[in-house]
Amino acid sequence: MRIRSWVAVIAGLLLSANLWAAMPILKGVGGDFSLQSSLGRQVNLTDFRGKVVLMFFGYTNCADICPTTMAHMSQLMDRLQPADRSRVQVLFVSIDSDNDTATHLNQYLAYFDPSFIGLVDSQDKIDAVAAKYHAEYVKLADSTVTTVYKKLTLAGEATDQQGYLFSHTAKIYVMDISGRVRGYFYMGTPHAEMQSQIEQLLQE
Amino acid sequence: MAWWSRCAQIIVLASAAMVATEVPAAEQVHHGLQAAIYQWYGKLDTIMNASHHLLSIGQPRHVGQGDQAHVEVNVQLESQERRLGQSHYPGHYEEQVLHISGTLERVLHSQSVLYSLDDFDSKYRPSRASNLIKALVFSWTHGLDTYDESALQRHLLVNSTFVAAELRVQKLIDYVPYLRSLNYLKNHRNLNKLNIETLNIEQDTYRVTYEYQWWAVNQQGESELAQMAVEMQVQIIAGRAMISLYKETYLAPITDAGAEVRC
Repeated sequence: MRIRSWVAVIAGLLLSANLWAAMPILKGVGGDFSLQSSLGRQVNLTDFRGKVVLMFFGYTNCADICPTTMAHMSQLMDRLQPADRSRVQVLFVSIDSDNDTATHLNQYLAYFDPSFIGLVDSQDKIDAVAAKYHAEYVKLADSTVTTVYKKLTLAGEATDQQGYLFSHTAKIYVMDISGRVRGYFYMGTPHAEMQSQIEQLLQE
Repeated sequence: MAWWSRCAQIIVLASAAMVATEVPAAEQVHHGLQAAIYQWYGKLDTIMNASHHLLSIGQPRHVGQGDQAHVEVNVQLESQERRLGQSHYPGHYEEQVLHISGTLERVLHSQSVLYSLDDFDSKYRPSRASNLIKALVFSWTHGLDTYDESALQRHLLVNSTFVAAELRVQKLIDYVPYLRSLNYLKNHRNLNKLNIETLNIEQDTYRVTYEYQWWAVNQQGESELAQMAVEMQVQIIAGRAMISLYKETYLAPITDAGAEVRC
């Protein structure tokens, strides 16, 4: 009985370590793009070939899902082995072209992980990238905002404008080392699952 | 040492299970067979001025050998015969065995194995258009599955409009070579959300929409997945549904809706 129990435990561990099937390549979603970045230069998706890219559409004035998702990804990065960590790139695409700047994004993302890169550009360019990724978002009119969020003043600029909200997708797009969309993570995706999937993608 | 050997066996089994999970478990439907069955009942609807609403289609069974080889499929259906001067009719519940050609593309004849007259009357519900349109949709999909360009072409009316999801594909004549160029080792389409809307009853024209999940294994052994939406405009001519407009677009793949939180 004792041996059987050990066998069951080991089998369970093996299965739980590799419980998640390989992520399929999602067709009709994604594609290359070129946007201004928090690095102070234009960034292309092709710059990250050989890395797993985790991409999120959000905005720095977001009070809930964006910071919690960024924190979730920051914790994920801490779990990864250094060799894997250097081959994972988090991209935060700002959907708030009116207010987010490269400097602002840099300060915001550094709070979570200095390796995260923010992307912000003209609304047309952001819209085109969001369309490629089927990333839906819409700015809610101020009148519909019932809670006033005070804009972060990371760049030192004073603001007296009323709070605003975006309704936006909460997906974290997972792209493989060839830049193909392989699936999505969410704020609620367990770190163990994310880590296992990333490790599988890095081995391809 | 024996239990380590047992562990090794389990590791092998676990690895095999992981590989197996790469293939979707969804039961694969033979679209050509479905097309043949719906076309059969659509034709019967036309000839008999009756309706045949299919309730279920069983799994095909290969029977006989050589020249006698054919396929049998059990179907359950509810039928009604229309009579002049009446608005409500008794329906019939039937179970039939369809005898189908070995290529699964033509029903040879049917045999009733259970027949039960409803003990109530019900309003007549026509099924001709929906059966013929379902036959078209399944036949079209079978043409895509088998790269059969001539079969696909037969479903298009002259001067029809064709718009593929891939920008590089401008015409149907480019579509099949594009599909072939993908060199998939396996591929299958699972249809869902079929909706038929009458556009003009006199002209027998309809707007048809549906979605399909397209799963494939590429040359590198990787799984590929696409979620597609299709819109068709269809006209029924001489007992066949024909396409006047075909438009296909990529949708965002379906994910766990419960996890899709928005702020």
